[in-house]
Amino acid sequence: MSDGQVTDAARLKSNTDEDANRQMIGYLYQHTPIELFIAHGFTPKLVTAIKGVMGGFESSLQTFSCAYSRNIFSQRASGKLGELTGIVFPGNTCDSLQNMGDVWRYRFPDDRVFRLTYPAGLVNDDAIAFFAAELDLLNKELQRLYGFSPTNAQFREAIELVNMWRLAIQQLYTIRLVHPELISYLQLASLIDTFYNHPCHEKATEAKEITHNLAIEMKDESALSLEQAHRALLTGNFWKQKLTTNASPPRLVVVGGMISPSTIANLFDSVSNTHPHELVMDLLSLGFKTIFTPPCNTNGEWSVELAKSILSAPLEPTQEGLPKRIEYVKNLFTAIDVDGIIICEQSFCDPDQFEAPSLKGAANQLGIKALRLPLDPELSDEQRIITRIQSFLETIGGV
Amino acid sequence: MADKTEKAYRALESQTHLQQVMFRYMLEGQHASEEGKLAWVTSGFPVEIPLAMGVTPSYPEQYGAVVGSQKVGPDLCGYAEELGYSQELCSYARSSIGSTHRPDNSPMEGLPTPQALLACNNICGTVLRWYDAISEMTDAPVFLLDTPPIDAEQAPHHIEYVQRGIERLVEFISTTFDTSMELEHLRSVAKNSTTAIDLWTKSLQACKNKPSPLNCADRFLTMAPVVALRGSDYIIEFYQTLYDEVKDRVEQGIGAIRDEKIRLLWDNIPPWFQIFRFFNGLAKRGVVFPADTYTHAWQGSIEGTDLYRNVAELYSNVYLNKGLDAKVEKMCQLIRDYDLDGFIMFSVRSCKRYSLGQLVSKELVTEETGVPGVIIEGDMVDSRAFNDAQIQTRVDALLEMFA
Ligand code: SF4
Ligand code: SF4
Repeated sequence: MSDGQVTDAARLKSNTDEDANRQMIGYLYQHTPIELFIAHGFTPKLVTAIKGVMGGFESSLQTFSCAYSRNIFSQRASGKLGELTGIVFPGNTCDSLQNMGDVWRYRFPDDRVFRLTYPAGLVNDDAIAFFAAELDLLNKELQRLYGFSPTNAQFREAIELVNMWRLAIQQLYTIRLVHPELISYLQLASLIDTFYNHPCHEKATEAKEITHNLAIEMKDESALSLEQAHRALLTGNFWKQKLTTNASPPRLVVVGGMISPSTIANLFDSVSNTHPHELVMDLLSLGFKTIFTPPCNTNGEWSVELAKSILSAPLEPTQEGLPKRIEYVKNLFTAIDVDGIIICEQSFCDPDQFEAPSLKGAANQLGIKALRLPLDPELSDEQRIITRIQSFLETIGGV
Repeated sequence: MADKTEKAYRALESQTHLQQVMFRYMLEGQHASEEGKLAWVTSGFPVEIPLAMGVTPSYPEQYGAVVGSQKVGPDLCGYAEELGYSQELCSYARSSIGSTHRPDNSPMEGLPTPQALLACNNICGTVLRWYDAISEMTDAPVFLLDTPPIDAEQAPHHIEYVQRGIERLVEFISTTFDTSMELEHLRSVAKNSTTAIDLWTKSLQACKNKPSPLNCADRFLTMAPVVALRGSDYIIEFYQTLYDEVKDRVEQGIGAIRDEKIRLLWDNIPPWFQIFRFFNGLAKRGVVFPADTYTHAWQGSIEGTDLYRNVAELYSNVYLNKGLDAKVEKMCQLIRDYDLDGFIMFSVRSCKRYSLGQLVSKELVTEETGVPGVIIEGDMVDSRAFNDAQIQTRVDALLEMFA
């Protein structure tokens, strides 16, 4: 779809010249079907928390709305959100976002707000049918508003793009797990963030090439274990096999919710000189938990296949299934060498805060040290957070 | 004219009957647990289904209210915090997790041990995570009846999905408790439910009269059976007694408070640890609350040929499962129907689903009805998050507007 076919003019000011030429749809929940928006010719842009945005929410949201939602609301109130044609709110994922969506409509009545409601129950045929119907409705709404109906080929193309990118990043996660020295977490995080900002072939191809080159660098036997490890991560079937054999320096895994991998990468990078460590993996909502969404089948009905794929993403704490998630995490931590786990919790985030004790319990059972790290997405208390990470690294022998 | 020696607040005679009903509920829960037939359920759960299948429900939220009333909220919430549950989480959830962890130190030694946990997210998303935590502690399996929030009208695929959930619920209860569903039995349980809810609704509506026969605390206490025992036959007698007393008060022109001057709407759960102090304190100043958004939430009846579909529609369309528009509309309607002068919104830190949005709805309700309102912030169980002085100042500011 060309820009000319998009009838609704963008309303807010853009950040860059490049952005000015694109019709961007913002979304807040990591499991938003970006493929649908790409097929309609939009650029879906993940709206994440940014540093230095404070205030502006007080007359609309109480302080016990989660830190992430307050940050996003403040961005909008202070005009820092960038130029968006519309914004997609999830329904039925968490109470903060559910209610903020309503408040947003009242406070910013000119904004085009879309609501996509998710099933919260276990994934079964009923949940898939429900979500597929929601996707169909959203598609129709986009068609009605913007006058464009993507063809099956356009849907397929969008799905293939996201599949290609996810596959490449999944492989990079796997490579890092086995050989973290080959690519830094900072670089991986940056690849993730740039695609979330502007999903396109160029970014997906770049990720694919990096993966390809690294795979060549690796020895043949590594390539085999790489494939096994990738499959294990994707399916959760670890078959009690060891995926890594690396012991030093201290290997960390970061677990948590809606904090961008880049924020985490920069945070840990800032302590790496004084406290050497290797952040081998994230289990973040904006990282692993979305990246390891299983590939979407391009042959079936797009909405059904997309629903199946999105709902099967692992470790999603806004859905039913805590026992399964804890089992996955335990199996993973048994299969990889990990010396410490850092559990990030956002202030007033129900999904994070309810899950944290169970995650810590799982780590304890495996004899792995764990740190619960309350933080807000803008890292307003960065020095305290850094000090806590440093102390933790000292306790696990990182210095 | 009111007798000046009389208390500002009139106690209900039906309260004695209420205590008997709730005592029976407690004994039945213990017995069912021993028999392996007890399920914990959330307040918006279609309890008629487990009841019709011979499974007894127990309500952790109602237990939370007891914990709050007995002023042990901070202790029990503290036990949950010892386990790592953040103080920022819902205090009903924390007190239930705390009492499951330390039953010996909890009122009535906690709720009886459940064999299953039945959660319906039509009130909030918290209940799922809370019940998952209890499941880890008790090994009782969780069943989630997923009722996604409704933005405007309930779409056909939405009803379909919830209806399938009801069917799966019946399968889950059949397997877990080795029982089966007889639709005729469901009809008779639903009939009990409808009869009790009708009587309850009539008592609520009687508060349109001036003076109002019931105040907020009256309704919050007497709603316990309709929340916890919907579908049981023996609560019908209680609601008949209550309604008779309410009718009698109306006929004789007796109000819930001695000298009714200001009529307000209450929004949200009450501060259970202060329920009498707070409302009776205001009663002394002539303030009565003839309506509130919380106790009006239990309405509607299960009927028709397709019972499961009807259950799906009824339980999806509850107050908290709808958007801000519906909430504002409900508040405006109550203000008009009950001829209220203003409103107090309790912004409950525990409950995001109920509370986030109040800052906007306050403006909208005033705009629409022309009556003033105030927001006070605190918690319903955890008194540590309740600043008495600050709340009084805000309420005073509202009352001055009526001077
Ligand atoms: S999942 Fe947590 S951090 Fe994300 S919007 Fe919901 S409450 Fe906020
Ligand atoms: S979050 Fe609100 S609705 Fe949910 S259990 Fe707690 S008090 Fe009830």
